[in-house]
Order: sequence, then structure tokens, then C-alpha cells
Amino acid sequence: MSKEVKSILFTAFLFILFCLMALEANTFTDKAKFFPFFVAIGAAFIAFVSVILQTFEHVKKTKEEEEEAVEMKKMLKYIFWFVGYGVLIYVLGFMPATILFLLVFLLVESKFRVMTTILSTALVVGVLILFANVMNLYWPAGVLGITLFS
Amino acid sequence: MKSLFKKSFLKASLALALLVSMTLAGCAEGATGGGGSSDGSFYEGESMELLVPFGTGGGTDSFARFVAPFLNESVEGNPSMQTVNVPGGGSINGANEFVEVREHNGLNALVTSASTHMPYFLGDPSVKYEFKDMKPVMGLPTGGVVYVNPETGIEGAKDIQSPKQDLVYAGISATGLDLVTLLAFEVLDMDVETILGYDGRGPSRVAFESGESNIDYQTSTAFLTNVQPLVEEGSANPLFAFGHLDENGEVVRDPAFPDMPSLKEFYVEAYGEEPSGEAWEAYKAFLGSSFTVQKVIWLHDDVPEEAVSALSAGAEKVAESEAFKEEGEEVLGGYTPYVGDQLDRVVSNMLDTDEEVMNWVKDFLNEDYGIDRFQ
Amino acid sequence: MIESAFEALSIVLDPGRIPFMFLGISIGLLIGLLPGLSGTVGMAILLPFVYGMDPHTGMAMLIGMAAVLHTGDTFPSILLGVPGSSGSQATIMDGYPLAKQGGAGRALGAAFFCSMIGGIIGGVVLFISIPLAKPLVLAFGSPELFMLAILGLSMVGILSGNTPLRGLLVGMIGLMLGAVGGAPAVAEYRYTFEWVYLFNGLPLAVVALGLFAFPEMIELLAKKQSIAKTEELKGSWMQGIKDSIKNKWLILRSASMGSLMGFVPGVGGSVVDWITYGITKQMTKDSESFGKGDIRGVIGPESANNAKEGGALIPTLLFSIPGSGTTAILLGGLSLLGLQAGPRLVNEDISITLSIVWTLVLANIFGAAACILLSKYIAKLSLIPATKLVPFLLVVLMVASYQSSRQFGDIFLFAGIGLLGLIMKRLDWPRAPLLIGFVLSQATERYLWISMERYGFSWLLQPGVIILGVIIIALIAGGYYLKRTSEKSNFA
Repeated sequence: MSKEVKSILFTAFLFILFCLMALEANTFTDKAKFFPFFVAIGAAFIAFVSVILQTFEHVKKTKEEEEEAVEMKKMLKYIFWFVGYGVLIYVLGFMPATILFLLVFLLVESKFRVMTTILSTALVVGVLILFANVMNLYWPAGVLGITLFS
Repeated sequence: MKSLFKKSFLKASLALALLVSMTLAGCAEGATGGGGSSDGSFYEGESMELLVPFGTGGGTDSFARFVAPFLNESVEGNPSMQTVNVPGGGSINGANEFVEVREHNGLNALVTSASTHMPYFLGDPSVKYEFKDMKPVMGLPTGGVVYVNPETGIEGAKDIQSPKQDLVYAGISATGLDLVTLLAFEVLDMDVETILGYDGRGPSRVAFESGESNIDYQTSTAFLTNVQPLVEEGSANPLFAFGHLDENGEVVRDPAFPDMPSLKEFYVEAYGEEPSGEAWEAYKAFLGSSFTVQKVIWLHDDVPEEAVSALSAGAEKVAESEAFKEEGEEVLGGYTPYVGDQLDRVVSNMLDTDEEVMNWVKDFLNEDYGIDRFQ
Repeated sequence: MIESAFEALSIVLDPGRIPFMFLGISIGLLIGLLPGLSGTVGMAILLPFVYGMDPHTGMAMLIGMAAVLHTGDTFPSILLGVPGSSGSQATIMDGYPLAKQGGAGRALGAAFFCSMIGGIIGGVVLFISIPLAKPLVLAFGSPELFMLAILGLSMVGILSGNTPLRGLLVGMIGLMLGAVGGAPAVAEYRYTFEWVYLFNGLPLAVVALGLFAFPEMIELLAKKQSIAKTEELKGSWMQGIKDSIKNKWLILRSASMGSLMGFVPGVGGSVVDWITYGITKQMTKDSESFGKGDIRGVIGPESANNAKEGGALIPTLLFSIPGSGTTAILLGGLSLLGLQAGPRLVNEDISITLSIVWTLVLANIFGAAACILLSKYIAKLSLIPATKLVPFLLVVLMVASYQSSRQFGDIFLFAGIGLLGLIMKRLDWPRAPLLIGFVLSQATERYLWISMERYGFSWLLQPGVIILGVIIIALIAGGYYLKRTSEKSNFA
């Protein structure tokens, strides 16, 4: 799929989203409704026009450029890392999740040596605890209720 | 490349360490000398958290941060006092967290303000807290004054039905402190066009000064610093103060404005009789929870008895302390906090609301201001 | 006035107070340096110390912090393409491309130098405008504020380059995201699905981090490279300063614009950098290189965002209306110091106000100097390979996001907006318009509503509205005209 096609799909998605938001806005009382309703309608209209224009342009152009599938795969992999970290935070709480994430990521992805990995992680944890105390920072506790260093 | 990275990393961390140590040095200065006697009182060597359901720097936060060191001094056992901000949801969020997440062990207290009380009384669906399950420790009153632009021709109570200009009021939200003002207009049967949506009391005062509105109110401190100069130069006429609810539930003069008529007196002057009816009852109910006890420090009511008595006794000591009154002039707005039995009575007055009156208010909000959230 | 100004200087330079000013400055720099943490966090750190201080010392500390926030936040904007705080968003547009080309040192040097000059100009403007402040602030009624919001929104057109339709669409996404939460005109929550997290609306820091930082980190990892594509850093901070001096009129113009916009409560502060960036681009003849690493794209907004703090103090101190998030907390600090914002601060308490002006100027000088010294080392961050940089950065950003409202929703939102940003980046859609729309959404709705409710349609004929309208049209048309002529001259 080329960039243009994806762009058209994305615009179409926006069109549907704005339509849904306009529908939802329709249920608000008048004073809360006027702004989101008209903006959403306007945006849906522009999205619609944009889909048509982009399609025309795309049809006119015939050459298809292949995107690097390799890079796409890599990006998905890292998105998975990020989201996984988020889920870990949700389950384990921030500190345990961070320790686990850093240890695994640094070993697997950054190819750090074991010693370096442990040292780096310890350093990060230390700095975090220091900052949290000095700056009144907070972090999520996680549903399991493990409270480490907090 | 690698050595470069290491070197720069070292230097960067050195710089960082420098900053951190400076910060730490600052912290040490602010640390309080704990300790105290060792007679085994409840708060001996404990650390207490004051949960503020607003962001840093607002009125309630300032109040909590101001009171905290005094409580530390006066409560038996000298517990260290931490102020914790949990903002969000117009303070509903933090209050919910206090009830549902925080341990009911006497080491957690909640500081509420009128914006926390309002959704509770109106029965907002997202409110999970119940003030009847909490024990008040200290309450702080404030007041407010309504004033008009002299160009409206209103100089006193007799003129309110015949203004020379259409009256325009700039407010924030019908479910905030503005509700008391709106109910006051309703009681006085004044014809005021209300424009809601301003960003705060400051902007609404600027709207008054620039002529966008011509009737406005400010809370006591803001009135004294920002409106009094306008009164002196002749560009604002004060009409009445909202007044306070006394322990019997009657409206009396605001102690900060002893020369200003309360709404009740103002009504008598205008109509020659005492105010009555549903609007008046509603006004009294919300006057109590919005102004008479505008800020309250609470404990859970199922905490150990020693905790409650220690903290209450400490609060009473604080309220009497001269240093507290002197240094707190700006934060307290010239009012004396409620403590002890008096506090219990005002708070139970405030919580003792008539369901019919509340339903009337919900209808009033729905019909006049299009708010159907509480129906 | 001059005499009392020097009296105030001697108060500020009192040896007992200087350390507190430096404490404020170092915290301000540190917070600016860490992406996503805003002045709110800084104020929260300092407020506990403020209690019991004498007003001059307390103010020196608080203002010292607030003054340099927008100096330190330039680091993440230029080096990582991540907005350090709300004030340095526009710096990304050209600063980050410069860092990618290895010119981080030069961009940083220019940015700090401009921050310093801008901050000083802001202080001077604050000083001069004290007597004029009242009529100036009162000149902005709701209709004028609405027009200012529109002026900000019109920057969307300038920033979306060759794809105006997409830019418009993205700007509207921002407007809709800004509409989430409580409605300004009535007590009703929109698009919240009874989730309390959404009641206060989406936090700006999380949206900005998600939009810019998340996609950048993923791409860096996927491409397995460092931020700078070169092996060596080109150009030093000296070069940046030379570049800035060459553009001295640009600095002067942007700084005065910044401080004037800071004046306007509610709208000004949040979009100053975007508006200056847009205007800088529109008023330059050869503007094709903007967005690809033009040093002028750094100089403009950086001169303005420090100057803004001076302007923003005026509505804060005189009318107790905060002009930005930081000044809102400053108000709290004032009351803990036993002061109340209001006309008294320019009459009886003038010495406090003047010492604030001096602190602002001094803090800007020291803050920028410290940053220039540090920049040489910190710029090397851009040479670290992604796999060794990103995991640590991610941890920092997660903590930073969570400070916005301390609910899990922050982290959830960070990922959600991040994915949206990633898609937009991959498809070459402009992302800046989303931020502009988001920041201005509330103000646009609020002041449109108040104007209509108060004046009907007659507000359209108010002189201030007409003047602002003409400026908006001139900007859009002027930019179009300049582009046409420069294209023509290119063909010739």
C-alpha cells in the first residue's frame, strides 16, 4: 500500500470519527452543543472533500512506490515494546515495571552487557527515587498493589 | 564515539548532581524538626497527609499549606504534615480518592472547598463521597459582596426594580459559587441577564471594569483589595454582603463587613418584609455550604477516637493562636476558623438539607440555566 | 519611579536573598530540561519553602524559577524534538531539524542568546508598561479576545505548508480534542463517557508529548540511529550567537510582540511561540527553508517566549488574572507571602513589583549563561544511538506524563495520542496545527459564546475587532503574496 492510499484511508477514518462526534454533540444541551457540533460538521465536510481530492490525484498518478516493509515491521515491534511497558505499569505498578522493562530492553534491544544493564537500571531507579522525593513526583501503583520504593 | 559519550555523560551527570544537591540543600532548610515528647500519643512520630483535591497554588491549596505547619506544632505528638494535591474533575476526583483509596487510619485528612460541596448537594452522579461519614476538624468561612456600576442608577435597596440600564452579570458557572449570587437575584426578584462562561472571578471583575457587565460580586479578600479602590474612585457601589448562617441557621451580618447589610436586611429595606419562600430557603442552604463553611478539613469518621480528639484539640489550639491570626490575614481573609462544637453545629446545619429545597434548586437550574445533569 | 527602581535593585542584590534566587533559577532550569514537566511542578517544589519568608525573598525565588523555565525547556525541544514545556513548542519546527543535521550546538547557542535578550526586553516592557497596564488590559473585552484566538488559529494555514486542507483538518482535530471535558458555558461534560479523568479535559503536556515524542522515539529506534545523522557536531554556540546578532531586528520584533501578547490574559501566553513563528515565516521573503532547519525559525519564537513572562505578569499582579499556568501558581505563592494581587502592587507595594522586574532580568541573564555553558555537553545527547537513549527517555516521559493529573489515564492518553501522532508523521501530515487547535479550543468557544450572548452580532463592529480582523487578513494574504513573488523571482 502506498502512502497516498493510506492517507486516503486515514482521512476516511477521520470523516467517520467526526461524524460520530457530531452525532454525540447532538445530544448535548444547546449551550454545550454549538461549538463541537459545528466544528465536527465542518471537519467532516472538509474530510469528505479531502478524500475525493486525494482519490482523484491518486488515480491520475499511476506509479506505485513500495514502502520498506522491514521498517514497518520494526516500528510495530517497538510500538509493542512501548505498549507492553504501559501494560506492565498498569499491572505491576511503576517501579517494578520500570525495572523489568529496563533490564529486558537493555539486554535484548540495546545489547548491553549484563553488568552495564544492571548498573544502568540501578542508576535510573536511584535517580528516580531521589527526584521523586525532592520534586514531589508521583507514579502509578498498579492493580496488584505492589509498592516498591514509594 | 563511545568515549565521547561517556565523557559527556559524566559531565552532564555532574551538572545534574550539582543541581540536585542545591535542591536538596534547599529542602533541608524547610525540614521541620520533628521529635517531641514521648508520652505515646496517637500522632507521636507519625506522618499525616492532607489531601487537597485541587492543583497547586489555588485558594484551598494555600489554605492547607498555611495551616499544615500550625497543626504540626499544636497537635499532640507533632505529626509531620504533608500536603498532597490530587487535582481533577473539579475536585470530585480527589475527594473520591480520599474515601475509596486512602486508608481510614487517622493519618489521612481531606481539605474540601465549596466546589467539592456543591456537586455533593446537587447529587452529581460521579460523587462517591458522603460528608455524613466524615468528621470535620476545622472549617473556614469566607464571604462575598455584591456591587453595581453607578451608571445603573442603583444606589440602594429601593432602586433595584428600576435600574437605568439593563443589568448584566458575568459569571463562571451556575453550579459553582455563582449559584449563591443567582439565588440572591432570585430572592430579590431582580431582572438580571446572566452570562456564564468566564474563566474565573478575576476575568469577571475585569468584565465589570471594562463595562461588559454592570453587576458583580467578589469574595471578601478580593473585594477588599480589588473592588474597594473602585468604590473609592466612585466606579462601583456596594449593595449587600451575602451574610453568614449562624448556629441556628439564621442569616446574620458578615463579620468581615460589619457595616454592610446582609441580603436579609437588604430585602427588608427593599420590600418592607422578611424574605421567605423556596428561593430563600435554597439561598440559605447554599450560603451555608458555599460561604459559611467554605473550606473544611475532614477525617474519616471510622478512625480511632484518639486521632479525632488529638486533631480537634490541635485545631482548637491553632485557631486561638495569635501567630496564626496575624500571619494568616491574607489566607484567612480576616475570618476566624470554626473548630470544636461550634464547627460540629455549623457543619450539621450545612448537611441537614431539605430534599424539597434541593429539588427546587435542580428545577431552577434546569429551567433557567439549561442544566439537566442533576435531574 | 527610577529612584525606587534602584532601591528595588539593592533589595534584590541583598546577599541574604541572592541564594534563594539561584535556588529558584536552578530548579527552573532543571524542570525546563526535563521534558513534560511544567512550571506547575516547579512551583509545587518551591511553595513549601515560601511560607514564612519575607515577600522579597520569596518572590525572588518564585520569579527566578518562572523566568528561566522557557530557557531550559529549549534543550528537549531542539535536541529531542520533544516540547520541554508548553512555551517551546514552535522551537521544534526548525530547532530539531537543525539538531538532526548536527547543528545542535548552533541552534542552542542562538536559542539561549535570544532567550536572554528576549527576557530582558520583557522585563523592560513590564517596567515601562506599569502605568499603562490598566487601560491596556481593559481594552481587551471578550470580542477582542475571541479575535486574538482566531489570529492564533490562522497560524494553522501558515504552518501546514503545501497541504492546507490537511492542516485545516488536523487543526480541527485539535479543536475537538480541546472540547473534551467541561463545557465553558454550562455545567455539562462532553465526550467524557462519565470517566472522571476526562472531566477537566485532556492535559496539554500529555497531548504534546504524545504527539511529538512518541513517534520520534519509535522512528529513531526503528531506524537504529542517533538524532544527529552526522558523526560530528557542526557549528558551536558562538556561531549561534553570531547568527542571532545578524538577525537583531527579528529578535527585537519578536520579543516586543511576545511581551505584548503575554499581556492578554487567557489567550496570549499559550500561543505566543506559534504566532511569532508564523509571523516570522510570513514576513521573510525566502521562507522555503523554514521547517527544514532555518535558524530564524529558532530565533523568532525563542525571543518571544521569554519576553512573554514579563508581559504575563501584568494581568497576574494587577488584576489577579493568571496569564499562564505558571503565573496561576504564582498567585498562590503571593497569598502565602501575605500579599494579594491587585492595584496595591503598583501603589503601596511598588517595591515588590519592581524587585520582580529586576529578578526577571537577572534570572534571564544567569539562566541563559548557565545554559550556554551546559549546552556544549548536553548537545552531545544528539549523538547517542537510539537504543541507548530511548529506553531512558521513555521512563522519564512516562513519569512526566503521569504528573499531569496523577491518574492512569495520563499514560493511556500518552500512548493513544502517540499512535495518532505516529500515523500522522508516517503519512507526512503536519502535526503542529493539532496543538494550536487544542490550545485555543477553550478560548475560542468561551469568548465566541460570551460575545454572542452579550452583544448579539454587534460585536463584529467594535473597533478592536475590526483592527484584529484586518491584521489576520493582511497576514494570510501577505504571506501568500510574498510566496508568489519569491516563486516568480525564482523562475526568472
